Amino acid sequence: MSALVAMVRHEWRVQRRELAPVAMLTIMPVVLITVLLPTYENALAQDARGVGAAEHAVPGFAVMFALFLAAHAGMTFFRDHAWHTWMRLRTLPVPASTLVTAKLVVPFLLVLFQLVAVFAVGAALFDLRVRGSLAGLVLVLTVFAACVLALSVLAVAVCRTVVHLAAVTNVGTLVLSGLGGALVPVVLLPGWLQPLAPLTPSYWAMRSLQTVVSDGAGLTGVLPPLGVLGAMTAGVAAVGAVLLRPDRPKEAW
Amino acid sequence: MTPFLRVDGVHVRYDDRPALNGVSLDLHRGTVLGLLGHNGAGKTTLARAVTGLVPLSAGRITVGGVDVTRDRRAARRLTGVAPQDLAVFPPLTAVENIRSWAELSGLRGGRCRRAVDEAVEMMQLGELRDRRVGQLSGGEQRRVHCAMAIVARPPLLLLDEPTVGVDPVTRRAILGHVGALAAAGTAVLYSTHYLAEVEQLGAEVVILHRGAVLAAGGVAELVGRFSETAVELTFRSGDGVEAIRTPVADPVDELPAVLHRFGDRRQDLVGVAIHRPSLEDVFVRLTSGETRLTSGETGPASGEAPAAEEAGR
Repeated sequence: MSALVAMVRHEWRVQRRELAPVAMLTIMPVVLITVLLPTYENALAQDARGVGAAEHAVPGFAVMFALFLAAHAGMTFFRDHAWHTWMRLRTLPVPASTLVTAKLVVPFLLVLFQLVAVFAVGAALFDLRVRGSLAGLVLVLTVFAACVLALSVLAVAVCRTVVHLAAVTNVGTLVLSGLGGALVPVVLLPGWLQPLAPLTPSYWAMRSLQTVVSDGAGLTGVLPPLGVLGAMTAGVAAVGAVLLRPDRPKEAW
Repeated sequence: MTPFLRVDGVHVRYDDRPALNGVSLDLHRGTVLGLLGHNGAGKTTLARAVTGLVPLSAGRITVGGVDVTRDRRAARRLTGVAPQDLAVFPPLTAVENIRSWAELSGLRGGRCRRAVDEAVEMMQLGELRDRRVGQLSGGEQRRVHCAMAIVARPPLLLLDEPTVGVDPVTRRAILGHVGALAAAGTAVLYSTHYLAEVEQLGAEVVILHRGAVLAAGGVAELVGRFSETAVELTFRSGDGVEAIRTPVADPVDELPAVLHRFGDRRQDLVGVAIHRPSLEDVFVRLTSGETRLTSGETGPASGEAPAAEEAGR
């Protein structure tokens, strides 16, 4: 068993005891879709763009609540500092990069599970039809899950306390969701805000999802927006990796 | 015989503040080395330096012949650590904590299971093995913490105050197991504030003070060098009592002579006690002596400290 596999197993043992937030952040988008679908129907009918309400609401809330999970992923770092286990882990013959990577694997899978679950419920309950490639949809969700983890690493890198992390990730989620078109389509945003939308990864995640879900694109067709999302993910991950000092003490408050 | 752990002229600085100042010590397999010192003396920094967690500004540390600075990972494979701060995973059960650590240390399959069972047995965690560590008492958590350090049976064990917060029975058990591990060939660096534990373990001792080795040697040797047996006579004096301590080489032989010397106060004599010095007396004398030295006064350790520092090797 390699160190990476052993560490992932260990993280799973710990994180499986803390799945309540993941469950809540998977159920909540379904609840909100149920409640807000008529509102979306009205808004999108007025917009007359031909995009079904579920085709916007399901990807939108999936993206927004996946972003909320960035805090959950970041907590795994703060938790180890609070338990004094991080420095103990560092006495193992395992490089810090392996420890960090392993800590991100379980949250990555949880975000992916959450995204897939919301889409599955969307198809089952809200008549969401994926017109394009299912493989393309899975690819977009996978890249976006990686993007959430990259944002999480960046947040951990810049935050010293749990309170900072919660503030940064909550506000960041709302800003990225609103500006990226996850809450309402970008065309419904104020005119002066719309040019800023392409600066957010959530915008490219929504573009990629709508390309597959609404426009019926296949794997090739989704590559342009997905490529931008992938590039942004790589950029955020690189900045996060440079700024992350995993041995620097983190404080609970 | 080549020492398993060699710390050679190690300096560590935190920003501009020296944390270790030319520390040298040797630790052989099958022995326990007690590391004593006040809070902030450098004990934890030394343990961190041995595991490569803090960079050395000068000096060299080898574990099993491996230079810690050059090959941290190889050195860490030979080292088990129980840090000063309790470091366990509260959501996991006791046995899950130990199993995780065994796996992270590279054990697998039947070897891993046997090692976990042995560690559970050794730290008397049988009844607690399936309880979440977060629900255990501080002393029970400390046993899990120690079990994680020993589960992979590393040849070098760094135990940083392993008995803090445990009850006397558990403390005795932990000391017994430390002794047993040493007898089986483990080199144990044992940092503690409980000096009696070091005496119980029959350990060699290094006293750290302000990042430097103040004295080193066996307990008997240090007691002999830095303290003295005395006869203490207590006399009535006015409304209170007065204690007079007289250093002696052999209290039984010299007691009559001491009593004779104070014959004129025999009617006021209320107590006779023989004071046999302990490691604690040596520790207090040396570390408080060092304090006096640095404040410009003379003290009992003034002539001893340089020689003691050499004895650190």
